[in-house]
Amino acid sequence: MTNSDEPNKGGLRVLPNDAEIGADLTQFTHRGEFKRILDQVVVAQKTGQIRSIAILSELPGEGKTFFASALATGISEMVGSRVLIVDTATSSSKNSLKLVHSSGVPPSPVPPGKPGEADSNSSLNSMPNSSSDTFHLHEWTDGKAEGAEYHVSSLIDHFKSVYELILFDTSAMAGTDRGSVDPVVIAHRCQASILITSARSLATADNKRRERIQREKLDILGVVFNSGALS
Amino acid sequence: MNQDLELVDFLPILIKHKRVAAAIMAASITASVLAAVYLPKTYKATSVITISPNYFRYSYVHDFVPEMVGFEIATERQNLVSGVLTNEFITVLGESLKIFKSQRESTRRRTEAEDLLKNIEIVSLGSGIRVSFSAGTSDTAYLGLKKIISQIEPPLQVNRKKKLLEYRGALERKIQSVVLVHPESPTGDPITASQPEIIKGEITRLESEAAVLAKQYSELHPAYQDVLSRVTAMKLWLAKAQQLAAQSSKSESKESGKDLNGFVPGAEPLKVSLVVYESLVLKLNYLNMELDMDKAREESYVSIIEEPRIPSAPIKPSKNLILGGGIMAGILMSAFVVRVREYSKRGAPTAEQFSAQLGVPYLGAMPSFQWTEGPRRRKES
Repeated sequence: MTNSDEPNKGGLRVLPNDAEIGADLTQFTHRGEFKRILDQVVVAQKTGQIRSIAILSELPGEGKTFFASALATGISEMVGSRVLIVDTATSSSKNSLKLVHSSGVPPSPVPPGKPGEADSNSSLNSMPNSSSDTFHLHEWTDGKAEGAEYHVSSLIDHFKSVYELILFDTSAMAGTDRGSVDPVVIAHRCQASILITSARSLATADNKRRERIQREKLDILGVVFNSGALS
Repeated sequence: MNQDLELVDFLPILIKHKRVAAAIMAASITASVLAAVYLPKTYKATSVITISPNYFRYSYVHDFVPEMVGFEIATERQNLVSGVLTNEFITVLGESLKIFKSQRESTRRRTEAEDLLKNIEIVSLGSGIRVSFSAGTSDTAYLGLKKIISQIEPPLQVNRKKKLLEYRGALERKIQSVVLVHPESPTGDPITASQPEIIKGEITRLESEAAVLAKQYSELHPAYQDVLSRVTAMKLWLAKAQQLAAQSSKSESKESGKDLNGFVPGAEPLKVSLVVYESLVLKLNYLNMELDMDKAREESYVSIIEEPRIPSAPIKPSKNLILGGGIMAGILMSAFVVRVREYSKRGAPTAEQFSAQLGVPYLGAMPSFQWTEGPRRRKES
């Protein structure tokens, strides 16, 4: 079964980077454990008027993309909010997931620095019957990866009229797949962050790492443990 | 992350650390086997004995020597056997079996004797008594038990003879008190019969007896009347004897200078019931026959129902118990160590602890996700 064989549900899917199949997140978002996480995020979002959240993790392969996709799917389906996922990764490994829409239609780029020139809805990669979209950061910077994180604020300003929530799927804070786009800088430009952790990162967690995260003065909404992360 | 692990959750962790768990189990079982082999052993020799009912029976004198019945006999049996375990016997037993380690009489020696006493069990089984002795070797246990059993018989004979002799002494004293006033007594001593002090004592005793009878019966009761008539007769005799004594003391005794020691010359013996005298003499004869029968008795009062045997296996330590305990301890220690290794040794905090360290909320754990068909990876060429 290939991606093109999937029926057009108009929703987000995650696909292993070099895999032939993907997975529908709808069922996953209906699980009680995830609903409880979702509820806390939604409440925090409503209470704090949060429009942008950076999804962070210490190590690669801890489930940032998966969580961002699930969160976007859950919020859009259950709350009815429009959610945009901005992929900030500049490199990917075999373990990385890639975001696709069920329709298989590739995202269309939005010209950088010209948010007012075109209708946001028409320029985005929104799918029929979908209220969650994906977008790659380097498309906003016209293909330039270096310094792209400093254009995050303008991206948020541009899309906040269209989307109730913008999620930034970042690179790992430490690890081999860390790209040139610094996740901490992105997190500083977002209103909040969610830190994904796993047994692997917990096993190596020490005081230095904890102090480093605390030193960054990130506004962390909370920690999510991913028991199914790659080990 | 839920810290309350169930067995199903714990099994994969146990399998993950199977080598550590297996090593701990092996060490625990080895230790228990060594303990079972090298721990000091205790052997217990047991025998069931009984004391013959004849010991508690008096064929000739049962009508005036009280016999025990039922539970009294069972209790007395146990008391008689327990009575063997005197300090002297325990000391001799310990020395003969070379159980005592200390060389001199000391507090330690007394402690050893007390410990040895604890190794002897005497349990009443109704008609029988189970006697057990525990020691470090099977031979010692067997020999010790034999010594204990052999120690039971001699005191039985002594005790029975002592009891019968006590009764005989009482009978003789009673006969003497009757004889001294009996006119036709073949053994009566007229001089003794004339001692006023003895008669005074008898009067006092009979008055006490009459007072007791007066509380139980009416004044017309024959028993009361009999005692009363004897008291009256003695008082009359005493008055007459005192009169005679007063006269004789003035004339003969002073002149001759003889010490009559309270005797009253010329006083006639008192007349009491011949039946009482004959009855007492008859009892005395029977009692002597009972003593003669005991003396001639060759049969032992102690019967062995179950012979003592050399114990074939120690009662302590219990191999099954120690091995079972070793296995259980191994399982528990393995589970403990595996859990400690899994969650503590590496110092890995839980996600909740990590959140608390950062000072941020813990939102929860993502549920496990199963790929519909599994993420099929292309094989790298």
